[in-house]
Amino acid sequence: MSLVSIPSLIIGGGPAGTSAALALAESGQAVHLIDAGTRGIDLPPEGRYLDLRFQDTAQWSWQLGQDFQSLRDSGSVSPKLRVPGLAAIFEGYAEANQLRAERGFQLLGALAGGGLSNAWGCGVGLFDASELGPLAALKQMHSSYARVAARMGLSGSSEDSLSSYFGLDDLSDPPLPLDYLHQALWERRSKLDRNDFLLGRARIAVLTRDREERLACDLRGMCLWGCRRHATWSASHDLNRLRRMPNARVEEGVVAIELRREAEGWMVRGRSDGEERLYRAEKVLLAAGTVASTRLALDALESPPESVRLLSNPMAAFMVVQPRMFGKVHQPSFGLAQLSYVLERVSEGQSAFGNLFSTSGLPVSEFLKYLPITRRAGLPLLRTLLPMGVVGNIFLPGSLSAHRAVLNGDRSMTIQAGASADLPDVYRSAEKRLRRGFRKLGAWMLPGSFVAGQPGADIHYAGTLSIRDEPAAHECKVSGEIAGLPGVYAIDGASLPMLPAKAHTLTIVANADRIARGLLERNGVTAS
Amino acid sequence: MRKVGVLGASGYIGSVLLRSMQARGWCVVSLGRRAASGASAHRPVDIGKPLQESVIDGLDAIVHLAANTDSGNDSHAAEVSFASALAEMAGRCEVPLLFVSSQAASATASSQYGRTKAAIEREILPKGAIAIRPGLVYGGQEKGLFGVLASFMRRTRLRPCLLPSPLVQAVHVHDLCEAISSVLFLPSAKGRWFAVAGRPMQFNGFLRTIAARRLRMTTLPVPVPITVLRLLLLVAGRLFGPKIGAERLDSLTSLKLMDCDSDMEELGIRMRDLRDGLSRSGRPYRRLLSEGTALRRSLFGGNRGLWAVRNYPRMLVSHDQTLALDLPTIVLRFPRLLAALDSPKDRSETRASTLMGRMNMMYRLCEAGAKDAAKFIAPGQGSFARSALALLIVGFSEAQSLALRPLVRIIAKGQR
Repeated sequence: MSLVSIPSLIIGGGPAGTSAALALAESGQAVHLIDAGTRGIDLPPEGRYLDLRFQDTAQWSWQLGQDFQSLRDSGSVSPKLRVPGLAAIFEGYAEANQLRAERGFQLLGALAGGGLSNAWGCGVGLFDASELGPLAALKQMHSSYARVAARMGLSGSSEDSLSSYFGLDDLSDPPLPLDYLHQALWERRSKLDRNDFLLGRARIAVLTRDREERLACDLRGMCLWGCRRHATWSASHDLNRLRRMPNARVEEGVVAIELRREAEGWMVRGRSDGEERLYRAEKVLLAAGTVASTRLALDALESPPESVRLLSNPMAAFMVVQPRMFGKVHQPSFGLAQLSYVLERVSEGQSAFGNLFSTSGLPVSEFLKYLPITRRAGLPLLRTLLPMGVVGNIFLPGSLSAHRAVLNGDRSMTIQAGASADLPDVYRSAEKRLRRGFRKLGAWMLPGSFVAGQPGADIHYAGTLSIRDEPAAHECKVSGEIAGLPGVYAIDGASLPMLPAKAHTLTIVANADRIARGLLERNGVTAS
Repeated sequence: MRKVGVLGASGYIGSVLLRSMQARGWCVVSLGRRAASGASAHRPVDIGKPLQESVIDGLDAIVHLAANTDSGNDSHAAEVSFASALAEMAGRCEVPLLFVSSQAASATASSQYGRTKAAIEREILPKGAIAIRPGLVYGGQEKGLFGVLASFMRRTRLRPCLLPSPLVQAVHVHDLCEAISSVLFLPSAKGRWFAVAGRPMQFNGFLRTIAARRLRMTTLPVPVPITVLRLLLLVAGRLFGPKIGAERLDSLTSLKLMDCDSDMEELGIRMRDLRDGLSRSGRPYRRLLSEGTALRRSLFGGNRGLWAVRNYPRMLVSHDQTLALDLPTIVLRFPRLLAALDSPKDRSETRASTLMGRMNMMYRLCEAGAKDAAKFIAPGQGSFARSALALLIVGFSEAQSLALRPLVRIIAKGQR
């Protein structure tokens, strides 16, 4: 057993943990970050997806895995969860953090440096005043937004009807070029009823020009499998930067198990390879991922609430085809969001948000299984249909979810899926409005293609320890400090005051930066 | 490293056992009149002569496979007393001894062979030795009774159909050797005997499978009433000596069936499918390959992209599946029928032990090869005409499948 004494300990090396750690380290503070990850992601070979598909004789190894493990899980909606190179990220999260899921909740997390942003985390947007709640009035929040946006490298700036929704045009580079399918939709945007269905370029953390070690996107279409150019942002890049700083220590392979209050500060018990690790720290910054952070916090409270609400964005996926494109074949294109849309007022005045993607970098099997015909006939059908279509996803406001996180007697935590009674109606009306909207753009939603994900499939978990002006014991003050746990700060998604449909990673990163800078200020250190 | 002495290491079972023990990293010392090829060392032992204690010096275990094929009461008595002395010595030196007996072992067996095996078991089990009673051993090189049957059918192209057909319990020689090695050092096995064989099956079916899977030739079935055969053998025995007498036939027709399931479970041994065991490799690859070929061709015809077929068995093994499905031959021959079984509402079945689960996996496997890429992604320049033609094909193919589905379902059900 080893004991480390430090002024502040950061638990978790995902987007939130690295953001706070960088803020502290860049101001000259000693930083100690523990992360559960031991394995990174495996990148696919160099080249464009469409070329590799025809030429790479060993492509099965990055598509299915050396031991074909990708063929084991065909249940989940997201193909990301089947990418063998990413498997190491998701493995063992629930067990290591003593988490369980009930009632069909999809519980996912990352035990890897960089966290879930290794797989997702590129969609960006500024939360507006109504979405920021108690944080809206803070000018620090806005300066943190600007700071982290500059660090991540955003693109997608465009004068369109989503400019004010994203609020990022001053902080972003111009967008990547659209492929022929998105271009055709984009050219027809004036046909949309502007107050109802808003279409704009996707604002996304992808580079359109080289920056330090990361290279600009070259439209190779390997976004699903992993980008060798590191054009898409992941917190693992920031973590690498942190590792190189002399006053920062990144310790890997340690899972935090328990927080214990001491006379002055906290004792954090961790486990590494079955061995116990102890850390004594005045301040503890929780960034283990919303669900894991919540368990640590509730477990540390003297009298924790019976259960707390967990927010996530109910989501669905669909496909639209443009008959005009009949006879086209696939062309290389960017594999993440190219266009974004907002459906206004889907529920209690809140909007739904979604992205449109090319199918050219996705395995055809991902679509084949949904077709209502035999796959022998479906294959030539898709070869014709896919180059005419784009896939879309839709995220609904987090207020429509009603999951509960329950701390059990054995100190584990269970997530029970739940949803607002309105959700089925909202899904139905959103599908109808999308159908109508895309018709105006000259595209047809394929019948039966609108498929709702299981609860939690969005993996946008948030809001369990929300920041409030007048917090309960398990909630956070505006400073990020958990009211009932002085010295413990929830800096990841757990402390978000609310969860709109808008992509929330940027807000988590910015909020972590803000909380860390607040700590510096109170200690009389001038933040750099 | 374990050092095991094997009596009869040059025989049918012994030669396989020698190699399988060496594959486990064990050292095999051949015991007998002649050195077995491949053994690391040899110590001369003669069943007819008194046993020297130096024979088991430094050995960690002994396997006794040797059987006397000579006739005469003297030699059988010598066999029993040799085994008894060996068990006595092994017990004294605390060296495990395993004796390979026979399914025919019984004090009241009609054959001398069966009675001798029973007598040996009676002598050695109380001394802490282990016995294994294998069923009808087959597979590997064509030796033993299996070898006689196979070469007879190959030479004559005739396949005897015994009337009535006796029941036999077959065991692949590799499975038997696995069982021997698994039980040899098991402390709880001391003083017990284990039955190692497959489920009972018709002897005539056994011969038919040898012809189809091993010899891969058509053979002419010849009905042979057992009473007639027995009479012939009796006469032959009188003329040419008891080696080809009626005794072996008697021991075949009067076999007592063994319930092996609990023994096999205790030893952690699973009998391979007879059809797999009779292939040259003794493994299920041949049947898995034809299943994989059919699945691939059910998605699209042609013979390119054999990569997926070659990797199909490997993929299944990585999902802990080593058995081929019992698909009807007609479906394997005409994979178009298999495609008709791909009903969208069954697709949620993902268990790798089901046809739908394997179809799901095989179709994804097909997509991960470069040669078939053009089946998934239209190459070159697109055109309106090409796409229109594709849609026509889609409609035609789907109509075919819908028409075939009820029929194929009946065939598949009939098979089950």
